[in-house]
Amino acid sequence: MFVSRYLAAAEEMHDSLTQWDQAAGDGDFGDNLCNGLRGVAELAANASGLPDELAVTGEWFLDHVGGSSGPLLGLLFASMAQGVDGAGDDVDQRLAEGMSAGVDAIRRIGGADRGDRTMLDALIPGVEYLRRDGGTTVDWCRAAQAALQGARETSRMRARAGRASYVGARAIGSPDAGAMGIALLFWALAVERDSDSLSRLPSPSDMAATK
Amino acid sequence: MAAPFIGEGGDFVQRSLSGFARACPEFIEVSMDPLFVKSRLTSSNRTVGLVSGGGSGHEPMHVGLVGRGMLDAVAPGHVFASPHNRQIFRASTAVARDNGVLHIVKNYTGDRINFGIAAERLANDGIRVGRVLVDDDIATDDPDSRTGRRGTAATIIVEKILGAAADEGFGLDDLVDLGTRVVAHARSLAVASAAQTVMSTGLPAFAVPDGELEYGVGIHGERGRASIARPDFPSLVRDMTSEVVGACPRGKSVIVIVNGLGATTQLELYNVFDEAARALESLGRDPVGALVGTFSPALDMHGFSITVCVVAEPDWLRWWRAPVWTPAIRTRGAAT
Repeated sequence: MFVSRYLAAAEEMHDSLTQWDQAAGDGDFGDNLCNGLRGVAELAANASGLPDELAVTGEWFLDHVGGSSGPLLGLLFASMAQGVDGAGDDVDQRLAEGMSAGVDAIRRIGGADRGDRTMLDALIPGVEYLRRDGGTTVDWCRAAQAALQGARETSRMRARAGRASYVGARAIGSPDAGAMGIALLFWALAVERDSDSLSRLPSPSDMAATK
Repeated sequence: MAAPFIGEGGDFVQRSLSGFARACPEFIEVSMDPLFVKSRLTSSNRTVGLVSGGGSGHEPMHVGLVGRGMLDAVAPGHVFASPHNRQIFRASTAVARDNGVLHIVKNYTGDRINFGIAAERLANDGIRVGRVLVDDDIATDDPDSRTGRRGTAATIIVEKILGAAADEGFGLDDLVDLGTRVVAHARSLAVASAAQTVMSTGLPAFAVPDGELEYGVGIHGERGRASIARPDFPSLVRDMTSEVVGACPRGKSVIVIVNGLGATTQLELYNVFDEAARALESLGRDPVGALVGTFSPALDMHGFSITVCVVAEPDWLRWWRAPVWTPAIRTRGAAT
C-alpha cells in the first residue's frame, strides 16, 4: 500500500521533480523515482506486510535504481524495514527508529549534512519531528509538514554537496528535487499510518505548486 | 570531428570489456552481469583484496591496472558515470580476503555514494571494508565546498604503492593508513587545448578558441577552472609544475606522472616531462620516479596533467618500483 501511495504521489509531481533537477543536475530524479517505484510495485503489492514491503523496496532500489539518490533511498527503505522488524510494541516508533538509522547511513555515505541542499534537508527535520519527545508519540502528519518545510527551504540554498554543487548558485530559486522526493515519502507514510493526514496535508500537486 | 568507432548493438562499455577479456585472458576475467573485471594473477601473500572503479573513458585506469602487483578487481561505470553499487559489491565479494577488501575511490559524489553503499552491504555480510579516498586535483580546491578536490591521476600512484604493500601481507588498517598518507602527499593539475568528443554526437563537448587553453580541467570532461590566453610552452609547464609543487608538502624526492588526456601524443607528453623535470629540479625537487603516457584520460581530450607525489617514506619508492604485471603497466622498475 505504501509503495502505491508513494508512486501515485511521485507521478503527480513528476514534471516538477524533473524540472527542479534539471536546474541543478542531470534531471533524472523524477524518472528514477517513478521508474523505481513502478518497477517494485507488483512485488510490494504481494508483500506480506509493511516490513516485507519496505524490505523488497529497499533491495529493489539498491539493486536497480540509478543515480546517486536511488540507492540512497534504497538504503533508507532497508533501514526502515530493519527498524520495523526490531523489538518493541509500537510499529510507528520502530519505523521512526529505522528511519533515523537510515538518515545516519545516508549522512555517513553521502558526506553531506543539513543545509547542503540535499535530500537530508527534508529527511532530518522530518525524522527529528518523529522523535522529538523520545519517539513516544509519533505524529506522522506533523512530521510530513516538517519535511515539506525543510524541502522548500532548499530553494534558498546553494548546494555544497552532491552533483548540484558543481553548478554553484545557479540552482537557487528551485527546491532540491531529492528533498522534495523525501517530502513525498513522508506524505505517503503519513497517509499510510494516519488516515486523517490526507485531509490535513497539501496534495502532491499543491506541494509542487506553492513555494 | 568524427563519430567514434563503436560496435553495433548493446552497450559500448560492455563491448569494450568483452574485447578486453578476449585480448588479455592471461591477466583478467570479466563478469558481464554485474559488470566487473577480476584479476587472474594475484599474490597469495595478500590478506586484503584491492578494488577500485569509476566511470569509463579513463582507460587504462582502472581496468588496465588489474593484475599482479596492483588491483584485484575493478567495477567500471558508463562513460564518466559511477559504477552501480551492485557492481562494486560483487567485485568486492569476488576478491575479498581474510582481512577484507580495500576500496580505492576517486573523490566524486557518485563514486563516494556507490562505494559507500556497497561498503554498508559488505559490512552487513560480515566482510571488512576500508576506503582510501583520492583527492589530488588542485583546480577544485575550494574551501567553501564540501565536495572537495576531485580525484585524478594520483590514483595510479596510490594503486601501485598499495598493491605492492598488499603483496607484502599488509592488513586492512595499515593499507588504509598508508593510502591516506600517500594521498596527502600527491597533487595534480590538468590543462586542455581541445575538448573530448561526445560519444553520442561525435561533436566536441565544448569549444576552446584558438590561442586559449582551459586551465584546471577535470577528467570527466569538465571545463577548466579558467580559460586563459595560451602562454608559451615552457612558461605553461613551469607554472603548472610550480603550482602543483606549491600544493604538496615538503620533501626532495618526488614521483611524477605526466598523463595524457586522450588525444595527446607521446612526443608531446615527453616534451612536457622534459620541461617539468627541469622545473622540479629548479624548485629543489628530485624526480626519482616517473610515469609518462596516457593513463587517466578524459576520452579524447587534448591536454595533459601533471601529478607530483612527495616520497615521504623510503618504502614508497621501493613499492613504486616493485614488480607489476598488468595489461597497462608491466614491470619497469626492475632495472633501476
